[in-house]
Amino acid sequence: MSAADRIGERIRQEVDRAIQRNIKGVEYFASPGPVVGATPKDVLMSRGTMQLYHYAPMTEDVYRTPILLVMATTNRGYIFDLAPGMSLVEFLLKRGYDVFLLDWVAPAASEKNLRIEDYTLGFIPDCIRRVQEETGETDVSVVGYCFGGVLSLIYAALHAGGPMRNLACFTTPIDFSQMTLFSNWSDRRYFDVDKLVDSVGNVPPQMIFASFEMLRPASRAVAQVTLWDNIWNDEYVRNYRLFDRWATDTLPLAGEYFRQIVKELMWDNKLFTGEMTVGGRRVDLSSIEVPVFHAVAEHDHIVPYEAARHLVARVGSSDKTEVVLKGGHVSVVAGANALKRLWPKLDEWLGERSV
Amino acid sequence: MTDKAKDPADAFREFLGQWERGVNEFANKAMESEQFSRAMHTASTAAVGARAGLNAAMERYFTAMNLPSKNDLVSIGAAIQALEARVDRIADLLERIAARAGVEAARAPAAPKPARTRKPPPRAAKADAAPAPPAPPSAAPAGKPARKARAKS
Repeated sequence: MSAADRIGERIRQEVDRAIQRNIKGVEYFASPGPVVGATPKDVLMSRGTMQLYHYAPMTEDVYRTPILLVMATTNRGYIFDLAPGMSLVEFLLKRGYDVFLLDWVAPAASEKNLRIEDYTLGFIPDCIRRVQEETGETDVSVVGYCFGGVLSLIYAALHAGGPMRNLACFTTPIDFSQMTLFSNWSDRRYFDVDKLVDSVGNVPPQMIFASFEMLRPASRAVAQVTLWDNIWNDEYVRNYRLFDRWATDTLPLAGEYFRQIVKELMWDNKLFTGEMTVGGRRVDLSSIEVPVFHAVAEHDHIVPYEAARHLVARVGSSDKTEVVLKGGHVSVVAGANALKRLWPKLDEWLGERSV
Repeated sequence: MTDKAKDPADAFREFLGQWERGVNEFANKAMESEQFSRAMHTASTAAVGARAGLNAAMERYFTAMNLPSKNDLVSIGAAIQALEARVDRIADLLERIAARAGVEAARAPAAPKPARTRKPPPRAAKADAAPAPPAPPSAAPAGKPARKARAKS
């Protein structure tokens, strides 16, 4: 093809895309948001901010040990079940796992006094008991994402005698001093967390969302321009809408819980130093002896590798694995990247430990 | 120079990527400073204070007008949700009591549960496996999950 032909072809393509952008741009604003979390499931428990789901198995037989996914308290659990073909839940179901999800809804004003104790000595153990009842099995594997991983770790350390069979964490920080921007923003000299919590009760989701957005202040504007550039591409638009919907669907945090996170984790880094106590009991990560899997993302802007890398070293398990995967904080667990990288690795690791 | 580099649309995309990285890096450096932290909290404290003051004033206004405030409505909503959750728990409890007593009420029979006998595919086969390998036929009778001894790992 000659240079003139190539230029002509390129111009034709751009004109075609410009027309498509106008048509699809109207469609974008006129159409409803994408459906998320559509894999069939039952609500097993619903108590305030806590929701426990059980997904309908998709195979004739399942692994003996069920899986409880524990979502981070800042966002909704449908990141694990965005859409058919882009769903970790669906992937696990098709691979023969019995899957449960501990998800969160916005805490009510009356739940502003919830503490880490309520999550790690109340919600998670209650869900595990319910999973045991439902499956008739004693063992349960727990998979925690981001702060869901932190809660799972604390739970595991406080329940070293079982019934957790395996613990998998995704992008889970334990050294909060290495989350440099969050550390700076919560600098105790300037950040009066007591005043904030005492005046707002639960920390509003806008504040949580803004803190995530501030980590990459230019990215939202660029994403909008890139969306416009690609709006002729249905697949791109669909993915954009799925991830954008999830990212903007931030949850408020219970006030006392937030106060504890700031004081004990951000200020004093107690989980890392081993000084953290929950319900009067010390959280000793070395007491965790179940098999541990930790997946971290190479380009994680929320939980940098430095904040997450000590997890595997600190747990007392002899069977422990860390995998560093290409991708960011979200793309490592959801989307095309996760489908190729994390999910098969998780399946391979979990499968042989779930019989 | 490649053809790609000559394409103005691609050049714009490349510029956009560079601009994004540059601005993010610059902003992150700026936000690591103590001055930023101090300024951010001065502004946010003022905003929180103003918001709290406004909320208090609105509460007083609604009380004076004998109208429910947002907090009243939120409280009513929370009370209804708590009642619903309690009813759900009672229903769940009753179902379990009925199941334990063997008096499965006249309700639709539950779907049979899958046997819990699955084994991971052999390593070599796994590399070639399709995303959803077909499940081997179950030997367990429907509705009664088979139990297998826990494998030592």
